Amino acid sequence: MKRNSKNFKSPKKNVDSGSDTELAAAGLRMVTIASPSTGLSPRKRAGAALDGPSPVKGSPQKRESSRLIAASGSPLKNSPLKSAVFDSGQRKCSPRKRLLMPADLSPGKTSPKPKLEMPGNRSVNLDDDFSCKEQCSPRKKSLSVISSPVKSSPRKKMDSPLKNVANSYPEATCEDQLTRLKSPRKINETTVLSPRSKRSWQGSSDCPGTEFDPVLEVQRVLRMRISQMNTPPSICGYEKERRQLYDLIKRTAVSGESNSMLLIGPRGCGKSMVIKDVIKKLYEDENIKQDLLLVQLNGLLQTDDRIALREITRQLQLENTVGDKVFGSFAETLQFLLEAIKKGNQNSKPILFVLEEFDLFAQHKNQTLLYNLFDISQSAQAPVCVIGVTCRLSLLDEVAVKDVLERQFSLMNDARGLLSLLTYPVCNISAAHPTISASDLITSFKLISTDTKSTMLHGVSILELAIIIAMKHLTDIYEGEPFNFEMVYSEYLKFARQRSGMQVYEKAIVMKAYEHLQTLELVRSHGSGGTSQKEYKLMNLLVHPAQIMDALQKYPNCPTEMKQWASQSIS
Amino acid sequence: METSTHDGDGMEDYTLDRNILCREVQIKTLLALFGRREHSTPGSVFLYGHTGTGKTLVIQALLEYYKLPHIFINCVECSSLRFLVEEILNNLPLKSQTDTGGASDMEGTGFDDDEDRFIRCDDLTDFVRSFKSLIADSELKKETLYIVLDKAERLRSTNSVILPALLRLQELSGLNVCTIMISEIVWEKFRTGTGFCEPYCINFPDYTRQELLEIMSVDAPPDVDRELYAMYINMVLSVFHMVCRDLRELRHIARLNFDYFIDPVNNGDCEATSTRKLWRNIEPHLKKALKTVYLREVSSHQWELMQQAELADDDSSQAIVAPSRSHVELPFYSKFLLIAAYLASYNPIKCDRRFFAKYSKSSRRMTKLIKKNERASNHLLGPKTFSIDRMMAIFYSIVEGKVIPSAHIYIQISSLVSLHLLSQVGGEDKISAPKYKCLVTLDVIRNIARTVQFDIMRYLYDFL
Repeated sequence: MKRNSKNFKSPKKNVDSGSDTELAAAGLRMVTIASPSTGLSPRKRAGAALDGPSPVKGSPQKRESSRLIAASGSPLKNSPLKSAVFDSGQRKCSPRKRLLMPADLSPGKTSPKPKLEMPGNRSVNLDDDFSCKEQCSPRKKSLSVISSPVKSSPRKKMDSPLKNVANSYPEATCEDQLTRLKSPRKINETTVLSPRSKRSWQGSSDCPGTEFDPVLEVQRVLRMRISQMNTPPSICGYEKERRQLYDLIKRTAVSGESNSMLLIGPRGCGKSMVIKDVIKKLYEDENIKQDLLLVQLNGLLQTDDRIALREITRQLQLENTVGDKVFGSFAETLQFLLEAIKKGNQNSKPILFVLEEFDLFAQHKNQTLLYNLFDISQSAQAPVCVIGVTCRLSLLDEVAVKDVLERQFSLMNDARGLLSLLTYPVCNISAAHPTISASDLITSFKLISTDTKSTMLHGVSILELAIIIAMKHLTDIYEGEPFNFEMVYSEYLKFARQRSGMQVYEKAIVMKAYEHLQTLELVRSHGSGGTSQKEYKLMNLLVHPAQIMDALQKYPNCPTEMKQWASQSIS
Repeated sequence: METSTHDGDGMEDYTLDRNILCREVQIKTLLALFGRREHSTPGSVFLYGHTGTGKTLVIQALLEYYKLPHIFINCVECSSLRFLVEEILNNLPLKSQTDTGGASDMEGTGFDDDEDRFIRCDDLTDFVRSFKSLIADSELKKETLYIVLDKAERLRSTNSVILPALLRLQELSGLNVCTIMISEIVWEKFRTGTGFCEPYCINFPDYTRQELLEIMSVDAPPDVDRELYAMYINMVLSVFHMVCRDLRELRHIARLNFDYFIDPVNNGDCEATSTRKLWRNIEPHLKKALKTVYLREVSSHQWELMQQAELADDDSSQAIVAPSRSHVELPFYSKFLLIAAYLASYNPIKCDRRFFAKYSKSSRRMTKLIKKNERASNHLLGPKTFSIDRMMAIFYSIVEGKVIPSAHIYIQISSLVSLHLLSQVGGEDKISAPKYKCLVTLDVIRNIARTVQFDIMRYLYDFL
């Protein structure tokens, strides 16, 4: 611990060491720092966090990711604890140093690109040395990114909000932290199995006529958790990210600094959840709530810049909106909006833009909206904070993004997978069956992980199955080359005539079965078939041989000839 | 109101008033997912299974039986984003129709009085906004609203964002909405773009033979003994179950052939209990049905007429029943042109000399040797293109008598093209040396050749 804090006192060290590995190591050390008061090593913490499933031991990245598993699963938890926790060790650090820390942290290392492994890339400079230096010196960072008056006194500006942060977070005990780190499954079970709730169930069976039905209440709460509308009452993990995000927005809201940030992470790792949580916390401050204007856009809804602009004007309640209707052409709206924002100065109201599915915005024609938004955030006009949320890493190639990208997070893990696993057990909770048992989870897992193609194969007729086997043989013989109907038919005839037990169907019926397989999308036409006849259209089989054999095993009354034929290898 | 809750005592009737058979597991799962009316549900549910496994039936029956608020949309009808969202907005099962006026005001203007209430909407932003305001004003906000999209695979081609947006409609609108998608295609094929939120998938497996028997036995006509009908269904299944497991098709066949089955019983020729005799009576009919009706080439009415004609006169019926798909009427020279085109398409160019030159006996053995080595059948690979000169040369060598190369002959080529028996390959601008491809199948060309007494099999390289 002493060693670690020493390390903290000399952040210049990091600046000097430009290499990737050292930086990652530095980041890791900071992970250890994050909770020394609990007295647990990170490995132990990971173990405690995972509880049920076996803890992933090994590389530091893995350890980190397992911590995140626990973190991202937390929505199911009931604890009212809302804020992140700082331990005493961290408090000793100066605010500036603390600010540095999250930038250096690299929770996920999924990306193949080296530049992405560095979480705090302030710029997308491919030259590692350069970016590292930039990253580690706050002064340089603000120079490169924000060309606003803020740059004159970066230290002062940063200090003030951070103090607030530190004050607003309550100090948590070790127990709190431990419970927060419990695995979601465990938590769920504890919720259900806790003696208090058990008692209430018994109560409900005794007197079913009471107004408050605990079973219903539990059902309601749990079902709410698995639905998409869910916002978890507390989040654990992502503390650095949340703090960083909080600071960033706060700087915009309080000191009128313009900022931008991109959150990158795979689907369901909690990007939107973090943003929601941070905004909620920001709004607890009355001043910020009054000042900060929030514009939330989603790439799925605002499918082009025109719609997006109208939505922005609507959400900002600018003068050209009457009720819900926005007037004016695209050019007019854009001009109006830009003027409205540009004529402001540092004292005008700060605007927070949250762009979900950011990659879709980058696909818009000319990227007018993005260019303008980032232009505003770069120039010293009204304070604007742009936060993009995306799961696409390839985004870094987009021009508009490349210029302004400040930092990326790689958050890992899919909490949604867990939710879908829990869906069925939770839905089945009733008075007679008040707990989720292990067998429920196993059944649910079986339901979810069934191979859909095999189940579809189970339902096809014998003839269609024979055709699929013929296709499989053709694919084997010609090493993955496409085939056409005539080839399949002659292969089928060869088989059907040899085994006298089988009924031989005429071409038109086989053709119909073949077309049925096409509509089921088990075969797909190879390239652009063009104008050729359907008999000669080249096709590819989309079913794996293993899936065929699997389906044959389960197929009811499958003739033994078929099984033999299918398992024949190329002679 | 509390119909959809279950007490868990195992006495729940999962057949919905005995209308739906053999789908208890699926109904149970769906009911568990739906929960109570005011409970939130998973945001999206995906039902998949073969056609005729009761997906649509179960969903519709469930929603109507429990009177849950829902919208049912067939995606075949909604070919664009605009149609789909307007369909949803205008058919919301709103209980209070008072506040819709405000919503329709903000989107476009009604052109006449009838359309005043019609909500116009052409992008998803407007859709979600109108959707929220409509639901917030009505009673619906207290209950789960179900949006059912049948044939959901069509949505993939309409718009790249509509599918992900509908899947996370609950998240986007913040309302208690459940999107149910029904499709024949597995979920893996839907993941094409970005923004997907995995739905909860429920499989509808195919019916087993026993289940098919049980379901189809329900169709028994009122005046027929149940057991007799079940026996009949068993016979039908024994013929068709191997080829076809589509419940709809099987029902259709059973209905068409039942009269032939029941006739001997009604006439008194046969006892209702003598299974063997009844089987011998019905078997040929079913076998014939396997060849014709399963393909649905003729309507069932036509088929009945054909069957009656056959019963009346056994000799002349063969011509009518002969499948029309391999039957083409053509002028005399057109037939030869088509045969020539077929030969040119399916024979390698180097063996033309052997087939059509006058003195070719010496080379016969040699070509046979070549043939053994390269046995890649042309009939497997499809027709090849040929120049008009080659076709005309073959035409002159096979046609009987002397034919003057006149415009009369050439015009027939273009009419063959317009009948889609030939197709012109390459640009239409190649007037001097156009290239063609023959599109007819072997069966058709054999029928045509037979009408002009030409033995085409002797001239085909693949069949020597």
